[in-house]
Amino acid sequence: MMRICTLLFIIWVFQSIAQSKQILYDFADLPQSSLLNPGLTNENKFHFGVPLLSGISTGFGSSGFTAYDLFANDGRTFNDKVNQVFNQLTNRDFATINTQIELINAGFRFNKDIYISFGFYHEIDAIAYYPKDIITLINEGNGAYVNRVFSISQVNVSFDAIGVAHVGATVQLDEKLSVGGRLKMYSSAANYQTRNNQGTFTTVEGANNIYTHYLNNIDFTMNSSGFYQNDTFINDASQYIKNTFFGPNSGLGIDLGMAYKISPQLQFSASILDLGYIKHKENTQNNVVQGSYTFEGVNFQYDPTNPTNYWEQISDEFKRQIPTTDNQDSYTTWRPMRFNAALKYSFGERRSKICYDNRYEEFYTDAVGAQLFTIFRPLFPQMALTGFYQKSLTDKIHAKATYTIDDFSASNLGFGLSVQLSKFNVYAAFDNILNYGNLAKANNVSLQLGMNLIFN
Amino acid sequence: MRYTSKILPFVLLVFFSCVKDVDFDQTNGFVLSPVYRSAFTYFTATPAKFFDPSGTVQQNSISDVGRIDFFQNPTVAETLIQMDFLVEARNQFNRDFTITIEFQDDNGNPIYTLIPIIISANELNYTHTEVIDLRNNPQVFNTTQIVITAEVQDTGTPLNPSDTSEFEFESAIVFYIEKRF
Repeated sequence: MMRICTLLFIIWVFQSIAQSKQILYDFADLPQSSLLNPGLTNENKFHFGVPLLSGISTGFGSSGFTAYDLFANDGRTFNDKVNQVFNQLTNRDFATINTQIELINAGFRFNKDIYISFGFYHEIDAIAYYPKDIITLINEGNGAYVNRVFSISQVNVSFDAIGVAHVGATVQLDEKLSVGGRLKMYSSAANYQTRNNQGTFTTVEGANNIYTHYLNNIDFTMNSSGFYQNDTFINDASQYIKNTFFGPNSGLGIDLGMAYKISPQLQFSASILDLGYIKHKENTQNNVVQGSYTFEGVNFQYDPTNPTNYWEQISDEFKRQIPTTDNQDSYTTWRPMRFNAALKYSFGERRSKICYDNRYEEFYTDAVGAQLFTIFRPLFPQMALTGFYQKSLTDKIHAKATYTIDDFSASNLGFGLSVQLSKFNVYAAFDNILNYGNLAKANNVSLQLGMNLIFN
Repeated sequence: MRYTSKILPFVLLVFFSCVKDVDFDQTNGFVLSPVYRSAFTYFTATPAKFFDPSGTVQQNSISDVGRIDFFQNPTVAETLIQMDFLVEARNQFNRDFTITIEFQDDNGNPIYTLIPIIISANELNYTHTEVIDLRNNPQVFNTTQIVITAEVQDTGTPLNPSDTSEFEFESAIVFYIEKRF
């Protein structure tokens, strides 16, 4: 178990979140931009990323509170801070992590209109909504909450550790329009999810006793794959790594994208990513709890001729009314689909750069625009709206600054830089830089960096 | 070098980012202290309950036993610090009732006895609360069964087994948990 945790921690630390990756989107002809929109063209002849280092990103987000809210060294007791955080949480708040590390990323120009790219990356994606009612029940109990309905539907968690092999093509249809697609093969190393749960717990003043407790319409399901084999927890880290590469729990998905030049200076682009599924059929473990139960207390009978084991009677009745069943059935998970759209206006000095076919292409040194990102999560979509300014300092050095409003913050400034030294490209993008002075006050932090060899 | 001065602050910002003004050790002082209310026992007794199966011999006292494994749980023993025992009763009988609640071990030995609860004749709105401080009474955690005895006052006049008067007893426990981290 320790080794598994260590493995997951290492993967998390050396990978990246940045769900929206608003800085990398349509930035500096980076190969990684095509993973965000396969319809975006480039002027490259071919490229390959430095193995394991071509695309690294990591991040964590928590809406509702920051580490500083809980751990501030401000003289208040930890209990006070915990209670304040719990009180300000809503059932829309969540913690999320989305990380990717590219193992392989390469591409080549098939002809003047088509660029083929392919690769393999590892991804961890997880989201857990804060179940406010359950937290209240654990933290405060039902003592002060007679007649309050506690819902278990707020329990909503999903975790995915997957490997993704992909191949895509970007096609320039005419001078204005380019489109692209990417086929993905997912291989799940581990999955856990509990969602679409139903049911309530209520304590009311009773008719036959002081209180009556109701568990109503409980329908709670947990699915997992990759964690258990024959009811035994898989403790072998190599098993998880092996399953990342074309393991038995696999699926398919596609990315679609387009870019359209409305005028020489104005471009609209959009993409849909991870329209796909994974079928989990091996090493699955499902737990289902369903039913309703009413507890009024123990009704003493005072019948010496027929003594009753009340405890056993209650226990049996509870198990009969709310049975828990386990099975190893296969199940399907859908990838969290993402949507990007951007409007980009280029301006400034017109320069020319040499292309893969030795012709020169003119480009503008500056650009401004807006980007919209949406990821479809279990309870509701998370959205991020970004305004950006992009500047080519030379034809080898490009910078991009972003301002993003999302579920975490309304003051998220990001900055990215891409530098080309001969064929060697290095890039880095950092989000939420205002909080780098004290990361404890950040609702989310993310970064992406990588190295490529780009030939054009 | 032309752009070094522009890039350098950004690089420094990233490499000198930090977490400050926080103290992660303060979790050691965290105390989780929920309070849970739970229904406990209840019963309704008519005069017929106080006669033997033949229905001819009156017995002024009846008892029933409820096995309870709850206290044997080590987590309960570690975290449960107080119980409030709540009682409500309606007595339609024309004589007093005395309710005795006794915590016993496996062998039926008394471990803890609540103060006897006396509900006067025709008292229809009786309430009572007894607080058990478990830090001062840790022997309660050896409880495996609870015996509730209902004793009807012997007035010298026999009960009428066909009388429809009722004695209703209801109870609940408020559990106070304290878990220190």
